[in-house]
Amino acid sequence: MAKWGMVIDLDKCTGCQACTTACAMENNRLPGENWQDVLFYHEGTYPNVNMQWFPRPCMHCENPSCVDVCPTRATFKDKDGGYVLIDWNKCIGCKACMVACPYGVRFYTDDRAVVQPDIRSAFPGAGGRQWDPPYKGPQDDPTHGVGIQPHGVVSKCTFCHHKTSTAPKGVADLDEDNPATKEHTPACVRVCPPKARWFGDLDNPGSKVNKLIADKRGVRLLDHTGNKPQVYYLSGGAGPAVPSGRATERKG
Amino acid sequence: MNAITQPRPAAATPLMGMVLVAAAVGLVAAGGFVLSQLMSVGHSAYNTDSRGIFWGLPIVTYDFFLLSSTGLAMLASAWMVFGLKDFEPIARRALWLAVAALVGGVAALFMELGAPLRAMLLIPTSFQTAAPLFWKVWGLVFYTLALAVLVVKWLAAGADTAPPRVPALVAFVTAVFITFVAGTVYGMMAMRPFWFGGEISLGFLVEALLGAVTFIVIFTHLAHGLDTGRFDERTRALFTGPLAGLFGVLLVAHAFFVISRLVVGLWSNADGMQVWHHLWSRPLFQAELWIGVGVPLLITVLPSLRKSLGLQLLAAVIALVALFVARFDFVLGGQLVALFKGSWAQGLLNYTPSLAEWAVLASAVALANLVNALGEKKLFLGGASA
Repeated sequence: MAKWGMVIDLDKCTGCQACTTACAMENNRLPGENWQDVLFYHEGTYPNVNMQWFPRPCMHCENPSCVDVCPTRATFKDKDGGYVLIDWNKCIGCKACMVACPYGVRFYTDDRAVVQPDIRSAFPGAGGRQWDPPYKGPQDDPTHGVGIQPHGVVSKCTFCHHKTSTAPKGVADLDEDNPATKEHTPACVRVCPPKARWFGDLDNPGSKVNKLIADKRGVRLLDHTGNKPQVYYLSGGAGPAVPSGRATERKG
Repeated sequence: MNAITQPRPAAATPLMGMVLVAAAVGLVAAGGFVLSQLMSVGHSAYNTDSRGIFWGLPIVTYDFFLLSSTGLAMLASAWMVFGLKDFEPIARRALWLAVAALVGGVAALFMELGAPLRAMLLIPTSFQTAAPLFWKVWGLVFYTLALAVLVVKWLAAGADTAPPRVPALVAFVTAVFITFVAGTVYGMMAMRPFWFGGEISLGFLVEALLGAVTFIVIFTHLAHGLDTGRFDERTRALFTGPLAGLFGVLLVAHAFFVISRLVVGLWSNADGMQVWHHLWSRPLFQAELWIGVGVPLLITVLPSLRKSLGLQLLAAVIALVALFVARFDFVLGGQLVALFKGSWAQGLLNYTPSLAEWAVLASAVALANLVNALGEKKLFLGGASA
């Protein structure tokens, strides 16, 4: 039984947002509902300005606080694969999981659209679904939070559950360069131009992800929260693992 | 029925009648507006979004009314459970106000949840024991049942009826339990330092009781047509004696809670605590502190002032508004620093409630007042005269 995890090399990531776009296309997300995002941070004032970027999918934590706070067990930790998923048939839209997630990876798109105008007005949904995009993938599994979500539920990255959960049993890594696993590789990993992302089984000592974590001293985001993410970041010193930007009151 | 158990005549019916009509009109107008918005554009009528402000004014309203309800049940328990005879004149009114506040709060919650009916079924049956909301809902189930029994067996059974002991005890225990759990919903959020801490539940308990005292002062005055000359001797003795003292003690405790959190917040360098500097710089927060806490504190701690029923009413109104503003600052303050949103949320987030969200508050206020006014007309909430 695999425990899927992701490794992201911050020294290789160019902030191109190919992962973000691929995720949105693969999973039919709304503009601004970026399950996978490359966050940009600005620090300082002209001419001493520093810009950083930081790729951030759902961490699929080993000890997820979002699962603990969910009063209906709609958010659950899937033992088969180690995913953190949402059963849309059980979600009540209380947003407690969004409040409890330290990584800001959850979305409630019934609220005001983050990106205006709201594209759903052009593609209204049917059958209780939020919208009906002109192109959409065939995958539809509400019990694992896959597909077009219904109204009143929270959504998040699934590690491309519809692809990765059907991977050949016992495989150590899901790599787009391997024909056997290409179609089972998460969209964000598959399209990354500088190959800054790897996806594999954290419980398999022979996996590439474990080798990278060991050899390049992979770190986890906000490890002090105890959530124990299954996403590891590599940083050889060229950039900080955690953005140092601090929210301050805007002037003017 | 002898003279000892003779119910007082229903007090101030003209004023409560006006409250009843105003509440009904307000409920139809505000509730109708919210429902029309929810049915036409859904929750996009609210100014919350996925950038970081997830819980807005509807949750503030729900929390405020729920804690007011539990506080009122605790206040009623002074007579119902602990047999403190001094508090008998307000016990029936406090219990009914607890029912009214609960109805208003739950209505606000239902206007906020994505799937409220599913929530009623799935939360109690999920047995997700790690979730504070699971325990809170089970507490609410028993609390509601206990209140229902108390209404039927006590309030509706006549003014000379004694409160049944077991439901009264259950109502008290569940009220304390719900208040503590409501505090843990925020206090357990280690990733949000503004909320995090074990003292939050204790603060909620103080604020619930303080809210209850302000409610009972205001609504007792309303029930007597805002004419203190119509207060009977026992009510007057309670208001100028133990209740005035309790009001002062709770305000002192509340002030300590607010000041200690403020000082720690202004000193702390943890990311998330900069919200305290933001709050401190706002004139409204200063008004909340100096007028909302300071003025009622001054009135209630000075013996010469706290025995004035008029000043006490003024203190209650100010403190009630300040408690609501404080609840707003608390719930929103924990969300102003977005967690990992990058340039989607630069700096501290801004949040101003939408018209629909204000209408949720107006609906809850109107509904609670409607329920309360009906009770004032039908249930002899002033109790039996001594």
